[in-house]
Amino acid sequence: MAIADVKEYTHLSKEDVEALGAEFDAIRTRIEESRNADDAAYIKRMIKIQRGLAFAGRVTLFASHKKPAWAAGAALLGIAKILENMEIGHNVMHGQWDWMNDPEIHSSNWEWDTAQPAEQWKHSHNYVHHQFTNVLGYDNDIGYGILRMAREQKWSPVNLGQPVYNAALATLFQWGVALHDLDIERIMKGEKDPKEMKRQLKQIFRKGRNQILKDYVVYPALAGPNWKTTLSANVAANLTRNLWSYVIIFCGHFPDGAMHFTEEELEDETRAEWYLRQVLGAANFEGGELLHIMSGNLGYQIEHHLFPDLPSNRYGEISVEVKEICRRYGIPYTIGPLHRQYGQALRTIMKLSLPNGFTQPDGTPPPDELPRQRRKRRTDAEREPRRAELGSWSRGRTA
Amino acid sequence: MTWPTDLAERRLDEESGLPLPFVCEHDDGSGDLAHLSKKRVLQCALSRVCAACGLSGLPNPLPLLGTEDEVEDNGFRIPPMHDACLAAALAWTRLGRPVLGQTVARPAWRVVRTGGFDLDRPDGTGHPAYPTFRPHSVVSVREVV
Repeated sequence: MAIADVKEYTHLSKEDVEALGAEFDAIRTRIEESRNADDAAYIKRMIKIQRGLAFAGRVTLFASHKKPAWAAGAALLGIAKILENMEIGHNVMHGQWDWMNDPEIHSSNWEWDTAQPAEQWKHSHNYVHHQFTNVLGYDNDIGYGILRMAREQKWSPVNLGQPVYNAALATLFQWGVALHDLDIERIMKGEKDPKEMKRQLKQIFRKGRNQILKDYVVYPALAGPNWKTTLSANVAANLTRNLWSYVIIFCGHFPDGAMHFTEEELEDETRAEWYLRQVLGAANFEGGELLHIMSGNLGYQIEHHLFPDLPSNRYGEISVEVKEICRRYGIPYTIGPLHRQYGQALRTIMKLSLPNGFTQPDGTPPPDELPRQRRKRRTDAEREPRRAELGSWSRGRTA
Repeated sequence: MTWPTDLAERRLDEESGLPLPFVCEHDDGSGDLAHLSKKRVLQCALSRVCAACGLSGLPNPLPLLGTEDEVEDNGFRIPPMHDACLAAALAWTRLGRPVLGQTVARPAWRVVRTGGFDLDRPDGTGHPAYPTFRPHSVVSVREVV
């Protein structure tokens, strides 16, 4: 169904929607024009802190035969990896800091400390996820190709294993993300160009191999007799980062209230409607400054989806205005504490492992059950095939 | 004119016989040199891939090719390209006919190098009517035709 059919804003006239879009535009313009040295200092400070933590963690692990050093080293390294992936890597690759003209802190150059090649991330996340946010059949972030996350998705007996798949995805999250742009669903359907698949796999293999060498061969080897405890601490650091990233990412789009869409004709969507889809498809969580930094400011998921290329340190300030705009226009602004948001996402995963008939929907009703629907929703069979360019782009020159 | 291999391997534009840029091609393989595919423009903008060959590894600063008017308005229609693709792209601009989303033949083109850009999505009322790149940290402006 089209975004215009969503009951959460069918009370708005076309003029209202345009006015709402203009208010979001005004926020964007204001932030764009006020990016300054303080913002630049913020990201440089984050990078300095992250590198300090990583260095301290690696050095501490030279004494990892002592339990406190093991725990401290693993914790420092885990925090450094979280900071690098969430607040630095993710946001730099969005181009949030390109305006600084810093050749290192730039979306063209940044390569992050995780198994997925940056180039594939920029396609699967920056383009596919952010352009087709929560659109079934387009956005691979809906269940990462292995979880059924919307009632409109056809149930199959394979879904009974969701609690297990979910635990595996959380534990091995960096590897799940690494395979994200391959588009497993298309591979299983035989729709993926084998050449492209091979090319992407090569790229993933190279990046994955380097990550393994770094954390599980080189640094343990440098620790000499403490190689075993250094290796286990590195496993713990990566596991910590995996679990944290998984929780934060699942809180962004799967708590109650974050909607899914089934529209194929996105080409004619106006900018104001695109803004609205971002608001309706995302969910925030509450927390202090430290929690927001450690989650890459994705606790402001709504603001991030509205303005993915604005500096992340400004999302907090933006959120006050966005919330107020949503209130004035009667648009839902989904927010709650982290534990509640994740609890709701987890409940959805568990419930949707069963056929729809066994469970009742929670929160926002699915699109095909909404009142005042103007068009009949197409079935899975009637829907167009998945986007042809998914996962088929990443022949990088530099790779 | 020497075309970069990846660009040379792209399908040819029927009218000009030149390789068809990634950004002019639709998902179904159709398209021509005169028009830009809005979806592809957005894909280039968000994935940071080249407008000409569709591949990653863009340089820094990013080169944006545009007309004099676009430079004046600080609003470009064509996404950034690799340097080698940009050099080859001049063959398109010299055809003496509307290309790359322009409605008329443009005699003068410029290359603006910028650290990055802000992307304006079409607003549905024609302001802008197409995705527009606004360079926000310009390093240089150079006439190329």
